[in-house]
Amino acid sequence: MLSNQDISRYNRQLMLPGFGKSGQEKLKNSRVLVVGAGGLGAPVLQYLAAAGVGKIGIIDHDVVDETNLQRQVIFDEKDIGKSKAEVAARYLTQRNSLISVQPFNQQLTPANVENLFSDFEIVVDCTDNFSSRYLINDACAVMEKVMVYGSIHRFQGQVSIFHLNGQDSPTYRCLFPEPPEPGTVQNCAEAGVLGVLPGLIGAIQANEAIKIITRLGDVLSGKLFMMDALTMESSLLEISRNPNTDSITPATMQEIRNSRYQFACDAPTNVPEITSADLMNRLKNGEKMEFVDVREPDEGPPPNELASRQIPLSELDAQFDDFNPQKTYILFCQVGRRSAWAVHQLKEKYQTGKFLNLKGGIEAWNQKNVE
Amino acid sequence: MTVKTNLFGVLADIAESSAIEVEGVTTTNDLVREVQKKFPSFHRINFVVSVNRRVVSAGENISENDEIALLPPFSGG
Repeated sequence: MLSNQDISRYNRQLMLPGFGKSGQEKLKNSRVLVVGAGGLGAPVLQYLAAAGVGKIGIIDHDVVDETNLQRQVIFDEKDIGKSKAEVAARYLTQRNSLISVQPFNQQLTPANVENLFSDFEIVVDCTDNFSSRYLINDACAVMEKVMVYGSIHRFQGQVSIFHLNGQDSPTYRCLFPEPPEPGTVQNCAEAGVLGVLPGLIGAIQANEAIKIITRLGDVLSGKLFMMDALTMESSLLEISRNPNTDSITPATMQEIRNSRYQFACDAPTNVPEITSADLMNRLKNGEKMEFVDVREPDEGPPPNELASRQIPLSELDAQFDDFNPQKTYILFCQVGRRSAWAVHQLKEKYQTGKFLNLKGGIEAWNQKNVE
Repeated sequence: MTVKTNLFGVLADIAESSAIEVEGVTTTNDLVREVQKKFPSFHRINFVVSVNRRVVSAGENISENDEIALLPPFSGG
């Protein structure tokens, strides 16, 4: 039932044809989980909260960083260093006290996905990595949740709806059955992104979620919406259900829990790392360290004031013997994703040894070096 | 036969163009082979092909005026 406060607050959408009180009641009773409170998550959360979605969950284990502010418009300067999920939840509650918002300051994993998804009907994918995206897709398939997918690359974005009608609907795996090879697809930290683009794509995701809940219009199930913010061209591509993907999609939550969702195309977690500031202090104290650049030979920029040798990640396993586990190694790349894999591999190989990933990569180091 | 092929995401970044002309192809398999020959790093990318705004599986016939696009996965959020 709508309260008088609901009727007054949501007046402008209540008057829409086909929406009315029943549409608002559906929103009030709906439960939407947003995975990733970043560039896409910011507009999705703002519009879902403003429209009166009754319960909103926010999963993000990261903290606000200065480089987020250019596009993640729900955060401000004083939020830097704070939990994204918690800051976002507080922001939404201040904007709309009639709804309930629950932050989950944790990483989505095969172990916690069932528990986190169980209270929600719709999962909005605002993640920036393939491990989470395939995990969301597979869990939505087993748990029969609708997935509102969005993703961006530089000036382009795409949106689709998966699992709308259970097993009859296309899934993310119908489009891309398996995750990409490491290093072939870049995220925003590596490729760059125009701040407005996730704003546009996230707003479309929020619009789709509201249409699904209120059963208004045609939603992007079986269709992939693509747009280019430079040319302002957009297209709608048909996607069919691909039965061949059934054999590679886990059929039960137990299978999901037993599967590995830490793909090589994303950074591994729990890798020992060092910040640029710490590294600078340790160098000043005269500590001896070896530096290894795992980028490809033609990649720039070179590191400021670090004598390093180059071993591209793709050739690392052939050069394992060049490492001496008695020494301390600092591995780096552009932003720290590939070097995280290098550290991960070296730790597995040597079990002991001091292998550290340079946090934020050469971008962070060179910036620190200028200061 | 020459077909105009639109490129998205990282494919357009590599080709430094959002559209290319591909010669001597009559099926999507030919097309994939030719673009991989033209841009060897496409080999490592798991892109899908759309013909006339429909994502297709391998081996579809194509003709000159078809609207073709190659779509790699996007990662950013």
